[in-house]
Amino acid sequence: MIHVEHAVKEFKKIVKQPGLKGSINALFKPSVEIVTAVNDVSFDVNKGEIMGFIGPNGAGKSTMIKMLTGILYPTSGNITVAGYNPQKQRQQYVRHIGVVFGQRTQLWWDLPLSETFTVLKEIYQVETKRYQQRMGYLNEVLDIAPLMTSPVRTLSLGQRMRADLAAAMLHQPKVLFLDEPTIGLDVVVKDNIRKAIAQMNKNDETTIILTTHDLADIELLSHRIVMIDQGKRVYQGTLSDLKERFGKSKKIEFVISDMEQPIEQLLSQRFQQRGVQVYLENERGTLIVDRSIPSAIILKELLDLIAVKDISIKESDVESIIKEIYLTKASYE
Amino acid sequence: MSKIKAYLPFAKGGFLTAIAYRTHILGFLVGELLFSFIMYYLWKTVFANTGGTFLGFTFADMVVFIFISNATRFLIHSEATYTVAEEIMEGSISMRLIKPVRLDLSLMFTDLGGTILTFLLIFVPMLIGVEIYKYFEFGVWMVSPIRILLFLFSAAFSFLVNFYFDLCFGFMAFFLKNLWGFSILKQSMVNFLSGSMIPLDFLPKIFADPIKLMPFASISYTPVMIYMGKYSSSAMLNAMLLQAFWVFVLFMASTLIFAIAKRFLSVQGG
Repeated sequence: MIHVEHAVKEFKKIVKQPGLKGSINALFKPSVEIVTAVNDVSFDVNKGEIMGFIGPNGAGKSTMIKMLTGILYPTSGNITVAGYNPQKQRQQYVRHIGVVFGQRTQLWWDLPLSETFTVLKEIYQVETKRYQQRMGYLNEVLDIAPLMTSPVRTLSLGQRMRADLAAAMLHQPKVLFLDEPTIGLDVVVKDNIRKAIAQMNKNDETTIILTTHDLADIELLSHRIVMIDQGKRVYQGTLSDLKERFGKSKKIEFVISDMEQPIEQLLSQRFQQRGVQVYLENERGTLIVDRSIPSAIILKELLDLIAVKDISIKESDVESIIKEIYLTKASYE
Repeated sequence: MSKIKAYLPFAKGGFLTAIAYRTHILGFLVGELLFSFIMYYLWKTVFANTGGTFLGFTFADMVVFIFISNATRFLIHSEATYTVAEEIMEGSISMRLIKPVRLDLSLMFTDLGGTILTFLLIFVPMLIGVEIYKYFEFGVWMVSPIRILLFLFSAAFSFLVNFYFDLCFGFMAFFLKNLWGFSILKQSMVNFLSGSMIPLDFLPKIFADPIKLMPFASISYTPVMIYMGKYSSSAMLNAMLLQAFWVFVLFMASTLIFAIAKRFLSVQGG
């Protein structure tokens, strides 16, 4: 459905030196710096798949989405979506896609919401019968009927996002692009939006591309992820693969109640041959244990050895894996 | 036909926006009327000292010129430069580009929506006012319905010339990011060279003749001269063909500029 090959996007940026002198220099002889927002990224997405784009701020996620939707031209590389070249065939192409930018809206700001939908009906030339059918369906998934008579500017952020999603789905696009669809929403609303996205993906077999900072979006929705950092692809695969490969260990943290014992010696003796790493800092201790060893065994041994006040077990979660990848700036492919 | 239907919502939007800003329109109207009356009294003094005619214009001609050229300016007004520049600056051009519509037509229909309102609210009353004034003041009743139709036809060309000129100019925002200073320069150029301030015939012939061939004359001078009956049939045909020529040239230019400019788009923010 989507095929991206060696996409590169460079921007020219005028660099201004500070101060009056710098500004005057820039007026006559601007020094131009080339910024590479997307650097040789390739990936494929199949029909009906949900693919998540993750990466820190400024990683190039939004630039990628804007190239996929035909707004920006790639400096080099090939992009094909649903058989179209998004840039060269923009007008025909955009009939088959829906786009939601979390930080913008395509709704008609000063008018009641219903106006936006009548306008979209005309622009996408949706037949009246089909339109009513679609509106019925979208209302079922996103509960937009109660919002129809309110001017868009009076809607809350959550209501607006529901309406924006419905607006993007009215013409039943083959591909839906969501650029940070849950940004700024509260937990309950986020959850509703996610459910709606999953349902639309299932019912319409819509291929969905989504960028987000919220890893819960990714965990609950996407089948596959592409992680980019500083314009480069650093990981591609499923989320469980990511966990499998980088989340091999778990952490057992404990607080020691009786400091009189020779704790370090006791623990090292017991756990060293099992390959468990032991870290101690005053009354706090940490054991790093391979995931294959049942926690119960380790806990029992620990409790038999020393007196412990408090214990917690932490699976290494996606968030910490990703944090590690961002920080080490390494490619994990 | 169904193609055009996809653009009607834009016209409706332009119309509704124009209504929403009715106080803005009212202020604009009063300001422009005031300006027309200043011009009127200025030229009245000039004509009082010339003994009736001035470079082939009678005072009755001049009154028609002042009010009709102002009304025409309303009619062909385009927001294209402003809209394109604004949307590029704040990045909302993205929302326009993800719709299955042509950029130029969607902007043009937005303008047309506003034009419908200005036509009914400003142009028609001004036209009637001028004709009534002329009848009572000079006893002449010189405009025929056919000439009004020809005027409207030519004004439609004017609208297109002005629109595509504006659009070409607006696309500069892709490179310059901020157009404010340039758009003021553009507006003064258009006002002067289109002959909407003073009839081009008042300029020395050596300037007037080349200016009449430039696209600016097609924006205002041509329809106003048609309305005033200053053209013979063949001259009128030539003038309209020149208008059509400029519509074509500026349309092609805007298409070309956009084809190049869109590669330079860098959506700012978000």
